[in-house]
Amino acid sequence: MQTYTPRPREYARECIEAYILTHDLRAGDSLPPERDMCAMWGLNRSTLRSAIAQLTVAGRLVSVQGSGTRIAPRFRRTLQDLQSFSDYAASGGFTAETRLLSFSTVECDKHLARRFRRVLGEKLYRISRLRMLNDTPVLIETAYIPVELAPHLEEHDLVNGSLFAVLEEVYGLRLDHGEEKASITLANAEEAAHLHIRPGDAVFWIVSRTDAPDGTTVEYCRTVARGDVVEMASVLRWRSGEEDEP
Amino acid sequence: MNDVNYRSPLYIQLREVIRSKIEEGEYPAGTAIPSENQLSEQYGINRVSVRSALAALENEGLLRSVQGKGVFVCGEKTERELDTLGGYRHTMKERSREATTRVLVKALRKAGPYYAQVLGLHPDDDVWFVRRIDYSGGEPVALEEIYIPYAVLPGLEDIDIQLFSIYDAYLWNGVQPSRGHQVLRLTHLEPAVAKLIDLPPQQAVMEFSCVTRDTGGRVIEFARNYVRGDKTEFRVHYTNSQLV
Repeated sequence: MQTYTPRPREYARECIEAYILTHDLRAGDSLPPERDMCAMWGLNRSTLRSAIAQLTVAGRLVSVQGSGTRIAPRFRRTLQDLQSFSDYAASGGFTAETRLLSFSTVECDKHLARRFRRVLGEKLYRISRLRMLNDTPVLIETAYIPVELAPHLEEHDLVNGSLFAVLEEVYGLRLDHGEEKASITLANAEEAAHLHIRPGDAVFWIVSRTDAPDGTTVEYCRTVARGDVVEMASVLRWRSGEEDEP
Repeated sequence: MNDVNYRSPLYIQLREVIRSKIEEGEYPAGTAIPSENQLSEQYGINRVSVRSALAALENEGLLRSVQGKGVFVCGEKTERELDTLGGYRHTMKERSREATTRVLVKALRKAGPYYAQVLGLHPDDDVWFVRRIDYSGGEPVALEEIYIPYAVLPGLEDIDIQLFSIYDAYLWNGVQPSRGHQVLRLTHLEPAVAKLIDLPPQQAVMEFSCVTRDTGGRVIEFARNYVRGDKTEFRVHYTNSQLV
């Protein structure tokens, strides 16, 4: 049988990643000094540096002038659980901040009308919010909600409170299931300015739809999320493997 | 089929020999059976009869002949679709195009410090390492790197993964994938790797990493998939009732 031996740099990279796992290094934590890592793993300096450079390009590490190499910040967003942003931040031990970028009423265009299965011209609230974690801007969410389902939504606190909580508690709208699509796009100038990145940087483009139990679409949301600090987790299930599901 | 006896035509007798070897596992699913020449020599019958026997089994869907590679055993038909309540589903933007794959590496290696932890092994344990490129309509769309503990799938050695999926290989070896924990990131590839999927320099890719477990909770696979975001999109469905 064919065998494969990782090249020295690949091996160095695996040693670093194993070290991060074993020592449970988190965002902002430092790697040991280069000479210690070389001694620990029997690597020469240039191999180690090349592996660090590779992990830096990949976005796992950041080098900080004068203080070595650190673990890059990552915020993991779990899909499939309809968790509110503030609950998510609390569960991850992050400090969360929300800024309202705009709140307006728009009419359904062709695209929105199709999403909501409503006729052209029906009124929708459009709420655009900037989400920050640990003082880092991470995503811009632009949510659309039919005015008919949540009249006078503007009277509620959507900055400190959760939109989903308001929809459930005030308007009795149960949010039950949805669909989310992710792809890559490039940040435009306005998004880049809010997210503190450069125009043209790669960002996640996420479009989601959340429905009530009866299938009425309650919210349609477009999210631009920073590609360098956000990661998304989800669980796959195989159909034939359902026996072990509750 | 059991009314075959010594008076039956030779090709029918041979057909039943091969059928029983498939059923008894002597010819495992996903592997090539002996060539026409070998079979003709082994049983002392002419190649025309051998060919008829194989053609009959091919018609039944038990065998699949691949030009220039040989005749392969097909296992049971498998359901490869992920559950609609699953994670991101890979949907090619141009769905109608033919999907093919090219295997660059399929080899055994030591787990090493990192994959030992990810797969729950000892660093000196053997793992399968597969690196391959997925094409859609002849255009490269993804680079896949897959790590599987040797002990989970010793039979992978003889299975041609150019023709059969690794998912098929699991099922044929009695391994039942159950759930995968998937993480999606945006990342950049170094030029030599980016070139493998024709990715312009500086362009970001989606990186899916996924740890898959079987129904018993054992880690059976770690896969890293670099996918061109301009060629694909991903979809996930969720429900509140699914909350764990």
